[in-house]
Amino acid sequence: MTVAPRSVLAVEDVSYRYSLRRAPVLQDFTWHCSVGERVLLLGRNGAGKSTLFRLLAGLARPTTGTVHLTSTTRATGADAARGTSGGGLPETGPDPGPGSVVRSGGRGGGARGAVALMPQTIQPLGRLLVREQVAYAGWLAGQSHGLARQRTPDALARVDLTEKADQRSSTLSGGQLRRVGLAEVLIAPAPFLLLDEPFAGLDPVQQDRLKRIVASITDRGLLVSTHQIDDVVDVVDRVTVLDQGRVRADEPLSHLPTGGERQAYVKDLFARSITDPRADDA
Amino acid sequence: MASPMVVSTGGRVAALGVGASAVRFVSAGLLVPVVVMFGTFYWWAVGLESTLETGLPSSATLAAAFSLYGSVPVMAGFAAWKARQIEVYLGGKPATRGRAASFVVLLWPVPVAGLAVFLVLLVVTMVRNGNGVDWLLLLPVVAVIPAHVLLAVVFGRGVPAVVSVPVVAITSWSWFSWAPATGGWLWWVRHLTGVPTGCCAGSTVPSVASQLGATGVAVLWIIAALLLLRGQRTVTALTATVAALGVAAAGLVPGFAWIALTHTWGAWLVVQDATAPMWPPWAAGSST
Repeated sequence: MTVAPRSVLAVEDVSYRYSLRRAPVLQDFTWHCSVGERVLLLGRNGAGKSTLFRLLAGLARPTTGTVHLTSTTRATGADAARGTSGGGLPETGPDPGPGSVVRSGGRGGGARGAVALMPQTIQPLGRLLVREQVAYAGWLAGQSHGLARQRTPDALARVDLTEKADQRSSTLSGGQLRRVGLAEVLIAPAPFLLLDEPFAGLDPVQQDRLKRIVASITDRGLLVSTHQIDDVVDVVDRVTVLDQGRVRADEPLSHLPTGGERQAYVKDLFARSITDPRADDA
Repeated sequence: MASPMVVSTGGRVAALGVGASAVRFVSAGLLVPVVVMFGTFYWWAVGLESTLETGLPSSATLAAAFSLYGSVPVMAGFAAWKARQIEVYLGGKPATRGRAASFVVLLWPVPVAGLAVFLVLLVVTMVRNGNGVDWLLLLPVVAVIPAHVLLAVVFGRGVPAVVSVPVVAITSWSWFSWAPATGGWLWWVRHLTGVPTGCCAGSTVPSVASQLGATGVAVLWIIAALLLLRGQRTVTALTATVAALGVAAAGLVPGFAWIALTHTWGAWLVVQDATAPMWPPWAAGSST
């Protein structure tokens, strides 16, 4: 599968407020993420993380600024040999193909279709079986029914849920349901995945399992929001700290060794970046 | 990480397509018996008892149409219940698919169940009594079922099922029951339910205008519901609803014109007793 390293999900000068009388949640916010990059998003409660996710997913419109997906890459390998051209996100993978701007949301357009969001709460869908729910998510993401059903086993295998495929999703445990949520975003042909608090409420075994799954996602752009830094810091390439609607820090982590040193660095960076370093709810 | 393609043990079922998923989602094992029970009750207790006349095409269709009294409220309740589940699931998820399609793809078995029950009862009635099919009566039935279901979806998706299910079921049933009882300046409303009741017997000829009016209203309700599901502004859907009533009224205008021109209760507007002379009405036994 061809990776498009220069496919960029970008937020430029975005401000967002829920109403005119309320303070903006995001202010002059500029940020970006490339395909293949894994970014950890940190911030206190109310810092604007979920709002940023909603804007990226096209579920909300920025008050000012733009959210858009840009691709400037050239096709490689088989795609280049076939001479395929851009013009949309192919169903065979996240590679948007050669070309310039693939999707530009403009003001408020977001990057819908280019982004798959795993929300904090994963809902079972009535009496549907796990594989049916994941296939429905794939269909919602724009795939045909046939293709979504065809890809479901693969998505379930990636989250170690193959043995639960024929079980009703409403009967799963919280950790299993989170993996269903992850399968739902993995089946989407979107080049960018947003994971909102994927580790919340999981026991250590499930956290470790989910961490390994997240680490295996290398072919998409990944943005993970969590308060549990230790769970994910080893599998991300960059950390962005958000505070009071602004980017306070945005630094690469690849140069740091995994483990305690990286964890300590990120925690220190977070403490230095937020307005009130005594806050302990991150 | 390379991911192996694993074929789940349910591959055979998956191969059946989205049909199996939708049937499971709507709890068809519960839906179908309840629709059959209520639909059959009204067909048997009201339809057969009050309308059936051997040899008249309209009577069999009319008798079967009475099943809608029982089946449509049940379908509306199920649709509201399941719509809430879909709405909760979809909330906060970006989707490339349209909102209306996201609901329809899982809820289509609900109206299909009601339509199937209606058709089975129609065939049973035809075989039992030797009637044919009255296509004019069939038209609004086919439109009214999805109209009620879609409006229930619109209401139910935003309201907890414990509230929405009784509300839509009672409202739907009340529409079928109240409308035929209207009189005075609202007399034309009685023809808009899609089931020509209240003034009809199995030996009557249904009015073309009333059936087209009922069909038009149902179709525009469907459009209004789809607009609301698509997230269009409420005013758009309200406009469609008002237009629905306008079309219904317009459909009846020719009837008014007929009356004005001929001072005759023409077959265009009123339901006529096929076994009696058309004029005068007190002799014909016809009614509006």
